[in-house]
Amino acid sequence: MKRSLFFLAACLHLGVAGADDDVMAALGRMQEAVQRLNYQGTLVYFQGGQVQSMHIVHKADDKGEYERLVNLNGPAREVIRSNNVVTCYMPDHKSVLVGERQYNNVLSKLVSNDFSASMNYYQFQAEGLDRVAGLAARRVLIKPRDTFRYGYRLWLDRSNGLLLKSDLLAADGQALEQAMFADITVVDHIPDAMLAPTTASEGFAWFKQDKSAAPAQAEQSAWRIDHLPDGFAITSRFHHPLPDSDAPAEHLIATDGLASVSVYIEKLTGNPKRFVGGSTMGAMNAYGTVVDDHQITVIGEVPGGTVEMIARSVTQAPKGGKR
Amino acid sequence: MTNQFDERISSLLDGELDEQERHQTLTALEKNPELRNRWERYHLASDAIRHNLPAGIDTGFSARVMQALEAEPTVLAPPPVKAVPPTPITKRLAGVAVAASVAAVAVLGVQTLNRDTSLSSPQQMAQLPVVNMASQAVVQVAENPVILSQPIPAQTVRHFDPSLNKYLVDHSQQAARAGIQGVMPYARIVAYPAGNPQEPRQ
Repeated sequence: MKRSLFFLAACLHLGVAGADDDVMAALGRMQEAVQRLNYQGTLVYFQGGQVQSMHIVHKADDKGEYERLVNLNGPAREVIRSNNVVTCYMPDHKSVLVGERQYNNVLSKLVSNDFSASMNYYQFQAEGLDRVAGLAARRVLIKPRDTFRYGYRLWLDRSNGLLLKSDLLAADGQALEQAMFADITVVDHIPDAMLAPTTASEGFAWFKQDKSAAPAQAEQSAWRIDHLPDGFAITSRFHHPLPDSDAPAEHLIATDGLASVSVYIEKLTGNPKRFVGGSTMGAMNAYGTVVDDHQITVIGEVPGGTVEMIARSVTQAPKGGKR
Repeated sequence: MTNQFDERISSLLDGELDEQERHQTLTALEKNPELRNRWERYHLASDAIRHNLPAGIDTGFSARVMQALEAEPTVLAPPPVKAVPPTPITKRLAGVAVAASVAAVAVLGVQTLNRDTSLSSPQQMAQLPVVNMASQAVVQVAENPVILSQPIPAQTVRHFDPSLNKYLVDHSQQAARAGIQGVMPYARIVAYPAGNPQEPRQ
């Protein structure tokens, strides 16, 4: 307690320069461990009064990173990632969604294992030792410095740095979403069979993002976001169709290094259901508006006020607009 | 005797007794628990009538204690002790202990009302020795939130528009590597509530 108080004081006093190098190093190590190690385990996920468990397998080799998550409750939804390609099997919707994660330079820079850039917007605090999944864990608190973002409490494996437990915290400290490994095993090798989908997908509708849909150039876009919270920057801007439509949506991703927000802009044709106002599910908040016959949908793991502010500030640039 | 005593109490409360009468009444109170109870009830009633009850009496307190006890995760509850079957003596002792703590609450309560009206906040009340047990329960719940013990507002589930699921999935697919959250975005895809209760079909 004394130590964390001292640390807090040091932070306040020295600002960014007062960061606990130890904590930052641990987080860097965590990012690396999560990407580089081979592991499998059972993750318990709690959100909105619902508890679920899922099996996770992660493999990393010289060809890249592979991951498989499958829900052990209810519909056996399954996510399989092979490097940049993320395939979601949704038996409850009889559909399979294939998405390719897009990268550009800005994003890859932010994806680095260095969180020091985030220190202007978050305080990082060591909270001592704990035990999760039978393993000794270091506890780290990440507290936002303003109300535009959520906080995190992370439990990192003391020996290898893996993320064992993660709480997403509202401003009042309430956990909006919790995930925790009930057990986790680090292994030398993961056989490919463990990464194969188990969901029988015959008769499912497949939705594939068109790879040829080139990322939109910034100057091609008729849309702009006037209010992003401090620290958030747009890292990707591209066009791709969403599962139930043919027309590509414009999709912008903004991140502050820890949290991310997506802005979708879709031309409304015919008389589709419009989404106007806010919606929340645990950590995820969404806000919709309609501007010039376009549906604007902003969604991300940030507070409701943040997605609302961003959504309300999306405007057509004057030259393309009818406004 | 009791009627007479009622009058005495009433007079004592109103400060109408002379030194000797007061002494007699207090001695009687000291010797007779039944009378002492009566005295306490009178005192409370009298204060209530005069609107002298300090804010600290806090009628919602027991409700909150019950709430705290209900919210307390079972893991924190002490395991049932059944090693020694209670002998008549331990039974009797237990009875005494309960009675003693009840009396302590009553006495402390009266003292509070009687002497120390500055002791008025629920926190201050909670610092009184016996009530302290309950306040510890509250603190325990607050400081050791065990998974599942967090109250989650109902709207966090109910208000999510199912038509937003496609955005949730797409955002989680695309934005996963942007942050600190590791596998969490994929966990969200796997775990978002099924849109339709009829649907876990497989």
